[in-house]
Amino acid sequence: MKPAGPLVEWRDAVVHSPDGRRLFGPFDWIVSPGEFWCVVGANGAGKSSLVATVAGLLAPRGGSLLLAGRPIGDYDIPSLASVRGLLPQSFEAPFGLDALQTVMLAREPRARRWLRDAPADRAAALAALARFDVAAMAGRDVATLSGGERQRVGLASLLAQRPLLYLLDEPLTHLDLRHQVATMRLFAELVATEAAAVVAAVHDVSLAARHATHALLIGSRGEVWAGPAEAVLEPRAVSDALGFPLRRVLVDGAPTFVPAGDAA
Amino acid sequence: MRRAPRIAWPLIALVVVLGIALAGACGSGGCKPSMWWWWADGADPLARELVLGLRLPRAAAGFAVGGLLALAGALLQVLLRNPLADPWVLGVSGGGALGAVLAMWAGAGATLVTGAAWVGAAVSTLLLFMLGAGGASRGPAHGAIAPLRILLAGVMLASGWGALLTLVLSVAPDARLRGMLFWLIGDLAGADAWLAPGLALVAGLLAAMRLAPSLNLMLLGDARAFSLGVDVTRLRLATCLLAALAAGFAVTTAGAVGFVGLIVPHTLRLALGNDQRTLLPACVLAGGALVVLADTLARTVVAPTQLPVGAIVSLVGVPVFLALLVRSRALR
Repeated sequence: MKPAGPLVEWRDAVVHSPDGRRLFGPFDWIVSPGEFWCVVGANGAGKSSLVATVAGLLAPRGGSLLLAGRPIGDYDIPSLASVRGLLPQSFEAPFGLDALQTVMLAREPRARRWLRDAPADRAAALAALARFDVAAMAGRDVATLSGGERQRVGLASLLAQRPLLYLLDEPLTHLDLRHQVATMRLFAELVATEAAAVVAAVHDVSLAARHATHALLIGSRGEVWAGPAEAVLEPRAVSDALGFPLRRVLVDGAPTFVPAGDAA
Repeated sequence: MRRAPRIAWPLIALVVVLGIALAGACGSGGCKPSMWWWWADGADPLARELVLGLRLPRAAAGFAVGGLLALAGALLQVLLRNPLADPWVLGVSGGGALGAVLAMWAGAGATLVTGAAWVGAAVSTLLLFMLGAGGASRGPAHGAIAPLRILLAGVMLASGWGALLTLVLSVAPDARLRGMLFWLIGDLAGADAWLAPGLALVAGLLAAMRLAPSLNLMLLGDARAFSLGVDVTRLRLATCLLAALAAGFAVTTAGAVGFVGLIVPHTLRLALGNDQRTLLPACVLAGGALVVLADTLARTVVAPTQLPVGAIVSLVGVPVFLALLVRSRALR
């Protein structure tokens, strides 16, 4: 099912912290199917609060927030689950579940609450694990996996949920370089082939510039730039936002951000 | 995915049958399987009275207590996502016992004592979650209850109730001391009120089974469960209430029996996996059987003296708790 309009439409958006501090905004933000957004900003800028608000974990305090055309407050909790999926920051180990069960629990609403499911669900869960290179760990207790493997199981469980909108709070945490790139590629491919959108808070500006279609940059004084990645991720604005001088160089034609030399 | 091994259910059924068979056959005069043939011609005329009038009601009460405690323990463990949670460890049973002992000290009748045990268990649970849920008002994302914090608060509450109980016991008149010790250690002697805890067990299990699919999602953590469609705040409240009710019924029947809610869910989770729809009913059966077996042992091992069942269960429970503590990642 392809939704007619944007998945996120947030007019006059102002993002607040969980304890009610105003973090940044106002700005207008529209996320449509086929877009891969990276949210870039310094620690404490409000990336997690932005993701949590769109996920429905925090009530929006500023502006009108529509998800797939409906005000977010109009959704009940179960129906929200088929619109958006959330990978919380540092995916915690579930209590007493193996990797396959963790992914099975996230299967489509009709089946997801049952640990013993149809073979089709099992196959889909295994496929999701395989896409993140953790199929070999299917039978292992997630608590016994390494940090990066556990994070990939979390990503696989989000994939098995198959929401329209993927909300990822620092999805690359604990991942080695190979899996960071593989994960970014996977989500870029996902939005290109399905009617889905991805919003990911990331710290690696180079990976964001290479794989995302769009970027939302949170400046050091709470200003916001949102738009196509190549326009927003511009060295001066990024340097200001992250509080450290960066240079953009091209490596094999791909934009790469590196810290400026000591002289800068 | 790991499924419950085929052998598990027949094994649990066997333990239940064995527990009840032994409870009927064994007494201060040793174990006599012939006791069960009380209905046959030429049977011991005392057998009928012993089995039907004394041993089976006590076994039924013990089964209900064990089932309720194991159910409460299993629910608390999902809620805290920690295998160390148990109504006794978290001070819920201790709060109930203190309520009962205070009422007895004041010279209250049996009904009032039961009511006071209820209030004690409820107040203790409320305190536990107030102490543990720091910042819970900030919504499911950031207000995730801190399991470790609740666990530590519970252990402190339990020892606090223990200290107050000792205080009351040391100033109580000697005549009431024996009755008070019952609440402290957990004892099935004279417990023949099996109907109320039995009904509570059935109702509690039915309610828990309704929550089980959502509880499965809670294993993933609060934020992930919420994003998969669980009303985390409501589910947590319902689970907490159910666990307190179950523990309250158990305490009013047999006093503060410890560790059943710890040993049973943990052992079964290892054997059956962590699917709450399988685990919760299995806990009820195995918990009931454990207490019936422990009580049969308690009243026969140094017969005619009867030991309190709580002491027997704790002898098993303490090493299990310590083994869990050593293996626990959360407390490292």
